Amino acid sequence: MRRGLLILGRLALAAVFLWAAYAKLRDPWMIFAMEIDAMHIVPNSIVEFLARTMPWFELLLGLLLVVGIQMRYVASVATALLAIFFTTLLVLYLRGFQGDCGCFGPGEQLGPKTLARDGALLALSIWVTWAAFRRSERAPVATM
Amino acid sequence: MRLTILSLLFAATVLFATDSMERSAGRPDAPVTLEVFSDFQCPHCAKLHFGALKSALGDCVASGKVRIVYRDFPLPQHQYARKAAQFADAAARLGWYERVCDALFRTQEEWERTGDIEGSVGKELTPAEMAKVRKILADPKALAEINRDIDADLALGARIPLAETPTMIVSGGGKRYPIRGDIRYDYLKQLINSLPVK
Repeated sequence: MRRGLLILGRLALAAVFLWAAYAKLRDPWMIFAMEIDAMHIVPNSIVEFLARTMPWFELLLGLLLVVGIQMRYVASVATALLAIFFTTLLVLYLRGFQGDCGCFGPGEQLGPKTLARDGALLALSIWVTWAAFRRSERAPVATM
Repeated sequence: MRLTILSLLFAATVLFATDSMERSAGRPDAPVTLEVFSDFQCPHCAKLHFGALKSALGDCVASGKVRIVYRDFPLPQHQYARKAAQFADAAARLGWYERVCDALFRTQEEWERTGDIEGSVGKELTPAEMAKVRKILADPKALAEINRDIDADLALGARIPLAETPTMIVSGGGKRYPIRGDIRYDYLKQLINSLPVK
């Protein structure tokens, strides 16, 4: 039962990362760059790098979550990334930022719904990571 | 020689003139359109106006690749935004849209505090020009038409859907991208250049 739930959680996270990557990669990278730029949180020199690489990183992470190997590391990275996203969006929201959240391509305005969804995803990712570590403690060579 | 000068003047008029009825700048047949929804009382709209849009006017609009269409989107929380849009639209009917836009955005903090939009616009226009703008705004029929235009822009924005300003719709080559916030021109230019237009 728990194993089934874990697989479900892992695949749900994978689907989110894959969708986020697809939604960004189908548009020119400049669209995502402008979304990041409008947030005024990173220097201009980093904006282009992030816009060009983040969707590919999300794609890689999504694929690794589907495959399910080295879950301790993969789930930890996914959790760290989601924690960064959530914290950034929360700070922006508290500052009154009303632009695009840049989560799944253009068109989603940052709001309470975005924060609730990202918070839920972060919670799911933390749980998947915790479960991956627990499983590896019991059977170090097994994958989730 | 005279013909050349006349041709150059005509070309300059087509390229740089702001269309008085449609509040647009650039060639009507430009392959890329930037549709800008803004609120005169919004600080980010002012930043976009004097940043990316001014750069675009001097670059890709001047080269004939881009046409900018200005849309009013006065937000309900901004007390003087509609009144400012009325002044700008009245000025647009006389061909002074860009000048009045500049004045309204430049003095935004001032009239936001005092509500004296007329005083701010009056600093940009001559007394004679200002009298013409006032005459349009005093005419109930003209004012109703201006308000209808503003409401049409609001309805258009709501269909996108659009909730905040500034929002820009970049379209060309069968592609359409909504872009929010006061973005940098570098990325906008690269996006425009990436669009599959002839």
